[in-house]
Amino acid sequence: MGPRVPQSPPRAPAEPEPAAPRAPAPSAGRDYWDSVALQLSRRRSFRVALSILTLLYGLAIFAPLLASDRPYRLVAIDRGRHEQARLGLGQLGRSALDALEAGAPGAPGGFDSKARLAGLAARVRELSEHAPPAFDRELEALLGRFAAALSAPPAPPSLGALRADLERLLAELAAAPPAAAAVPGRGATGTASPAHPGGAGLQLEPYRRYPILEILSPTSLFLMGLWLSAASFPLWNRLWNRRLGGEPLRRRRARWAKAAVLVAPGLLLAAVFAAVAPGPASPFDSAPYKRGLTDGSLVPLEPPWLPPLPTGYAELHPEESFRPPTFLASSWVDEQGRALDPARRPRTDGPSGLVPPSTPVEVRYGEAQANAPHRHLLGTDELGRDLLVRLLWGARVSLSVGIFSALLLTAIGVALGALAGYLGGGVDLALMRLVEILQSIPAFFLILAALSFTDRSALPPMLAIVLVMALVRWTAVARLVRGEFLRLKQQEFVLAARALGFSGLRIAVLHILPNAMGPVLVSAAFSVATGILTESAVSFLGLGVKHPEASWGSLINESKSPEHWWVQVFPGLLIFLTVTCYNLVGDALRDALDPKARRW
Amino acid sequence: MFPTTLGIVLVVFGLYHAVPGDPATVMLGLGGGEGQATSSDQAARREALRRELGLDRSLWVQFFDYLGPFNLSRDGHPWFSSPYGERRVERRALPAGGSFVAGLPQEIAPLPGTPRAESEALARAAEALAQGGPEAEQAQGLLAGAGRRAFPALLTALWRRAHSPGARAAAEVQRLAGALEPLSGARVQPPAGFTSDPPQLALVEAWFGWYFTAGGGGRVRNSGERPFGGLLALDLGRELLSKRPVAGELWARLQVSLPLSLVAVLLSYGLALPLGIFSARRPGRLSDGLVTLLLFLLYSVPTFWAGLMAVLLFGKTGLDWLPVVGLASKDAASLTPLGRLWDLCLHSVLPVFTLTYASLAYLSRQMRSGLLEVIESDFVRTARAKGLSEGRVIYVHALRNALIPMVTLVATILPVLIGGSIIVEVVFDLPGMGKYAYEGLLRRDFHVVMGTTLLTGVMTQLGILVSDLLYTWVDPRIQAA
Repeated sequence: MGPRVPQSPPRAPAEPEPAAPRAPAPSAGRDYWDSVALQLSRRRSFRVALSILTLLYGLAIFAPLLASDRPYRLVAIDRGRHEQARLGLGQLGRSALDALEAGAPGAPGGFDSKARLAGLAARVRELSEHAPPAFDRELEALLGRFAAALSAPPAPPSLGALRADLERLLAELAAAPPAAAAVPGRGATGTASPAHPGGAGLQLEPYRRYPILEILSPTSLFLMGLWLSAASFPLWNRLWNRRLGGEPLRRRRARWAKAAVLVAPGLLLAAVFAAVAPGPASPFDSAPYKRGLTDGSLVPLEPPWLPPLPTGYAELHPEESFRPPTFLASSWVDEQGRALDPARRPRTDGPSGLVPPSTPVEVRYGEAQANAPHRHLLGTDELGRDLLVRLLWGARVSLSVGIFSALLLTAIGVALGALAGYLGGGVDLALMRLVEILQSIPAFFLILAALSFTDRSALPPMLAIVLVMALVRWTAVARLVRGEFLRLKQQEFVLAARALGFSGLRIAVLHILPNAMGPVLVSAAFSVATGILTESAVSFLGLGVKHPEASWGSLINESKSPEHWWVQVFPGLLIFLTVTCYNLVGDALRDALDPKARRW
Repeated sequence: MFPTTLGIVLVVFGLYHAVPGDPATVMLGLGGGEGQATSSDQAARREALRRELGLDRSLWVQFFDYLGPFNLSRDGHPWFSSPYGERRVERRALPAGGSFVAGLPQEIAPLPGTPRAESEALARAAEALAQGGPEAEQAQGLLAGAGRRAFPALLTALWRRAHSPGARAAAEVQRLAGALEPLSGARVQPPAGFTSDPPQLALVEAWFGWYFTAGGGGRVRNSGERPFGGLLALDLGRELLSKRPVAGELWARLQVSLPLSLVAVLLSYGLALPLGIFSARRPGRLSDGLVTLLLFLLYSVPTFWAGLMAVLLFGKTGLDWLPVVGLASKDAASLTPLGRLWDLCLHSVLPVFTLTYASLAYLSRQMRSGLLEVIESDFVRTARAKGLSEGRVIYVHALRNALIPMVTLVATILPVLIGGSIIVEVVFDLPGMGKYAYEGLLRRDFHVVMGTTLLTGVMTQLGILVSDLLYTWVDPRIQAA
């Protein structure tokens, strides 16, 4: 740009200005989007709604970290696995040696010996995890000798030596029972190994693992980074603007840089994670960690770092089926697991006077006691899964379906509307006919019909819902964009662009479209709200996301009985909250984007 | 309206076939893994369902069969082609001159209306006859007694042996042909000098040629069903399982849904207009702010959740003020007519409320903003300047102009109302059209879904039409074209 600083006072009129003259007032140079942003930031309802939405999105994005049955950090000894590996090594080794001594048909180098070798190698790997480093070399050597023996059968004396070595190693690897006071809370029961009846044995080395990483993926890391930079945006944006000074032009140019900064932390985190972390496990795989910690086969040497809500997404507690929120007195149970509240107690069988059997509540490692108020803050569903945890994870489904369907439908609507509006004529006519047909079927009906006809196994339900909602609801946006295009096509800047020789596509996309985007943004905000409502209604009717995924609507579907009010009230409250916030955002956008709107 | 309705049929039909997944697979709930039937039994069941539903016909045939006004063959094929392929008849020129009518041998389905037990018995009899064992006599008697219904069995048996080499197959074919002659009263022989490989193929082709031309197997004409049907004949098809006509069921259900929807529309307009006027007369004051806030919150409540909360609040576990299930109490029959009416009203309160509140919120917001805009205009200022009372200014002058856009909103809220009726009827267990559609959707019953979608589409278009007419009536500036 020219060397002139925009804020300098106006020169004497006689002096020619080679560059475009700029008005001296500091508010000049503020473009349409600047004033939109200003108006938005002034509206309290918009700020409140946006904060609540940011919070909800943060809860959804960080749900794997907030609510999971896997610890963040675990320094422990898996005694159960170690013992199993030891016994397995013994069995496999002995059977291999027996086969070799007997000259069994399993030909060396054939499938039999390959399988045996693979099994031995797996056991050796598991053993070396906990065995002290001194044993690693011995185990490797043993494995090597077995490999050699299996590939070319050696003489019997060397087999005898191998067998002796194997037995010796196995005896030495028998683990000692852990110190009783190693971990506060649950102490593991130690069994004396047969080789060391006095209880002394091998002191195993613990491993240090970060099991939480198994349910994270580069995508979720990217979203976490994005959320962190977006949530702190007001802060660093203000600092950045202060560094830039008051010139709107510099601020406008910094927009690209700011967008890059918004996206960069997420990308960085995702890249680092993809390079470093272990392969992902599905969040629905039951993790053995909690089970091992509970029954004592996994002995932690330091207290494991547990997530705030130490219950898994799909973790079942069948004995706690349909338990009310635990901060209510009506949810308390006695030691046998029977409800203390007489209204919840199952009726005794009349003639026989027998009471149905009940199972005591199982308090697993890291969980609160059976009647603690924070055990199940929002109650449980039919299989005893914690509702609060499922709400957090369900937020991921509901919110993402809302956003993606809105994005897709806006894209389709803008494209088709621009096409119809710019080209006019036959294309316009055909498209408007299509819009009319689609709009005369209630959208909800059409969505339900499309979803019911779809084969569930052919398309994942979430993708199906997003696609169907986008393909049914694009008509309103298309009509809007078409109207804008028809209006803007007559303006002079279009004529000028055409005179300059720009192609139709360029005019439509670069010149007309940015001016038509205002109503589209408003409609997009409202579309997210409608999308969330529709998705929850569809899931409530059973045609939406299926187990094991859950969205807020399908959580409400768990029970329609009025007795289980918590299953219906809490997910609905969250839906209501989200939709209200999006409606507020849409309202604020509408008022800010319309230059003629009056503010009451 | 007619092209749009046709378009609706096209859209639903296209959806039915275009979405991923084979309709028959979805209906049987067989989808597993890659969406293919994972065992031969499942594949057979799927094929049988496809044939029964007519899904193995070409898409155009299916579409026009649904559209009508002619019924295309009920045994799953267009009336001009045969069940298992083409009934091809060839005239073959003979070397010595003349021609020979030869038919393409194929499996012939039993005549429609033949009970399954009988067709199986005839098939067994044909086989027994062919093998010429001790039961051949009995089989012949059975076949002779069956008359025309024996032809498919005999011809199918002929087809099975048409291409088998060997003397035994030829002998069996001779026996079958021998049985066919008295039944048909025709002597069919391959012409002299015409040989085929295997030798009995010529005879078989000759018999098939006879059957397809003179024997009555040439056309499958509507199989005894009505020749007319389909949408253009106002026939909406039958349900898949219960075989009840969809149209009759829809009519019964409509008598439940339509009054509820009408009451909801009237109520939402009736409440929204006063609320909007009330809000617009006090812009910016506390009462306006509160009302606006309340309506805004109401607008964001999901319909099904509102229904569920209403059930929780007013049902048996809550205040127990209102009944929450169905449209009539269990003992409704014992009440007096007035008592029944009151019972009906009590049952309708919560469903109507759930249907109304969303449109109420939307309409009153529109009313408020529309009236505020009108109040700003010049003629209102003039009216006030003339000294008219505020009431007259608002209600006589401003309101009429503000009502005009409200009238067009009928077209907007009607689809929402009809779509929302599914949820309301499911939550409150009302025997209405929405519940019918929902059950059809769960069963993937094409005729039910198509019928209800068509009906709602037609109702929506009628609503648009009504709102357009009202608009031309209300706004004197518009001339109805």
